[in-house]
Amino acid sequence: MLTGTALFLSSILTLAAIYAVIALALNLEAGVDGLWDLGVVSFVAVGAYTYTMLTVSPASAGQSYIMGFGLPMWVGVLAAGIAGSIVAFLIGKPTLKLKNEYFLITTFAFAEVIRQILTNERWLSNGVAGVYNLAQPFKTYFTPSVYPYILLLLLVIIVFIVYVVVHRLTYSTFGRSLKALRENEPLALTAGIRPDRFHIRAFVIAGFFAGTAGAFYVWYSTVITPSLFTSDITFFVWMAIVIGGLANNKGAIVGSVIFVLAGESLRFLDLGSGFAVRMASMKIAILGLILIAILKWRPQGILPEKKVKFSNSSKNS
Amino acid sequence: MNKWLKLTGILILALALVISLGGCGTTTEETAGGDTINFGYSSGFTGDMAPWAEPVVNAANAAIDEINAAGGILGKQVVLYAEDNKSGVEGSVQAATKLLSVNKCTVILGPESDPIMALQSFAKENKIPVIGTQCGTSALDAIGGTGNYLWRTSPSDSFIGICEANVVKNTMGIDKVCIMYENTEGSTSAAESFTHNFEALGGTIVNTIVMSSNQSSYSSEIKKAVDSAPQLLYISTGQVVANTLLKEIYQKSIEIPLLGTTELQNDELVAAVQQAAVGLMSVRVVENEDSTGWDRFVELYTDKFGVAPMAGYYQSNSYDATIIAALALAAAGENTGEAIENKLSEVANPPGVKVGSYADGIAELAAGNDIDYEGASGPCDFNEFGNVNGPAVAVMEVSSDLKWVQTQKIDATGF
Repeated sequence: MLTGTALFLSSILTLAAIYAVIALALNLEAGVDGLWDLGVVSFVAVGAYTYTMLTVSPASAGQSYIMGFGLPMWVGVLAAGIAGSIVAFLIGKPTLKLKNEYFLITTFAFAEVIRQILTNERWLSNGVAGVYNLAQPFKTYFTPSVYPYILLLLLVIIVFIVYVVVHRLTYSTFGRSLKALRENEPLALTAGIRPDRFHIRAFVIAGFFAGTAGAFYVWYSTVITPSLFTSDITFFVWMAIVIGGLANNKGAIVGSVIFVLAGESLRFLDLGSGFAVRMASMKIAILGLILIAILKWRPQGILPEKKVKFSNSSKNS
Repeated sequence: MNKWLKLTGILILALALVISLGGCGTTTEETAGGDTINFGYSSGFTGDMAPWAEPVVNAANAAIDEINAAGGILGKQVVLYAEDNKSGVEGSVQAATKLLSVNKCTVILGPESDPIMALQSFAKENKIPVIGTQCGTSALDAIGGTGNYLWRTSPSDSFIGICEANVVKNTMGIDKVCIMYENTEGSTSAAESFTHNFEALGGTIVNTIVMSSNQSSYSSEIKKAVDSAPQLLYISTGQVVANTLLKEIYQKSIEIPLLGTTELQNDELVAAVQQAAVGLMSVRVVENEDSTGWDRFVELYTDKFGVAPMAGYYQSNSYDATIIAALALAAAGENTGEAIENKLSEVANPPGVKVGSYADGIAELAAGNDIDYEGASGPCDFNEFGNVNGPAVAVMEVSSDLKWVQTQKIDATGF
């Protein structure tokens, strides 16, 4: 029997799966490539808005946004990824030449610029009012009590696909080149690995997956407003990959699941409604302590990056 | 599979188990036939709405205590489950899902503007009424009401905008206003509503200045506002921005009258900015401070929590929503969301015997009479879209001894 608790659990695991997609994207650029990107939320936002503007009906009275073509969802998801990639390219082209700390500040600033554009340019996406009551995939085929499990199943399949793609990229020549750049850029250069080309590719691929995650986020929330896309998402995903294990794709998923579960499981520390507000602040502190404990216990993350071993035959040849 | 992966799996399973154990004993069947009736409360305990959270949850708890003291509903005691919606969409979905599926609540009270809009399809599909107590968004103006499962006991920004525009143009006789607003949903919605209604009354908006949150200074914005030579500055911001803005306006010795939105109408802002708040005005839909309902509520709240409630904190709206939901459930005689939904308008609207408390309400219901609840925040009459308006507005102003005082009361029925 499907209990209410299982329903709630499926809802938070769905959210964890969405974060896992963003974490896998960030892990490719930040973990494997070593780019300190503090603007990953901008790709998510652009993807989410692109998806919405393409799939939603035309703006009604009192609303104001472009497009509204009512296209199929799969077109929207694909477009969300492409839009994320384009924004990644446009941001990456001028910023990837910068050193880490400057790159970090610049990407953070770009993300905020994009959020401010979405906030202030009402003609573009209905400003702060956003768009509400957005459709979810396959919803008409299932009852409300079953649908959360269907959405979870869909997201689990998506996470698996993204994991396989990112995993293959990580262990491909491309991925090894990124790691070489991360570990020793001058040495990688002598091996013919051009930093500008490889960094921008990693950045654009990450933008694609983070962009699609924006569409999935809309599926989950059924609402889109600029306030959804604050730097909280960036920091959340960074914490997830650090806890899970930087540069380990399984770690990115594990970190996301643990982080979401840890946060939401604290909802069950119930001392009654009279203490609920004060407990909410305490829960944040408790969550912080849990994270500190995990990092103390596993400073390299729960699943550290695997060392690559080369066989003697290749060494001798 | 290495040992760390196994350990991680165990950790995830353990967390899932914690959640499962937490939810044990609260299946739908158990609650429906169980010993208690469960109400849910979703509000931003963390995030932007955190300053409002404790007062509104306290007000709901005061109502729950009153309901239980009167014998509960249908002979059962009421339990309030309060969840943090983190002042946003994502948290709102999580909080509502838990309140519905784990706590088996049959009504959700409290969510603010963005959080309640995120529950539009959730409420209808799961047949659980959601009653906002602190949401002014105009997006909710025409989508709620019976059958749509969305309601609110706080007035819409659209209605408050009409009241503010009428007070400024017709009562104060002001023709030129400069708008300064923070680019958040709530503040923008209020500013747009005022602009629309003020211009419709023949007034002129000489400048509209948009401000970002959390700036360390708003000097350039203030200069632009003053340069446009308005007769009044309309300020629609959250408390953090208002704190900085009011201090800077005071430091620059600007003597243009200031009108703030209802959200700025609280003692904490006055305490924070001190003399910079003197003269700040604010219009609010009257909570019938001279009515029995308001007096009862002030006494009840003050006795329980040791401080008096304030308009800017929506406590009376929260209290009224809880009482109305309880009366609707009592009138329906059935603990389901659908039953409550179908009775909300009936117990809150005329015709019926006017009642001002839960005890009076169930007494009249038991006598077979229709009831018309009149609460602490006003008449609480829902229109066809589940919105409430008010019969009058009060112009409030911060006095030289740093108190909010009512300077005028204006009939709003003709607005």
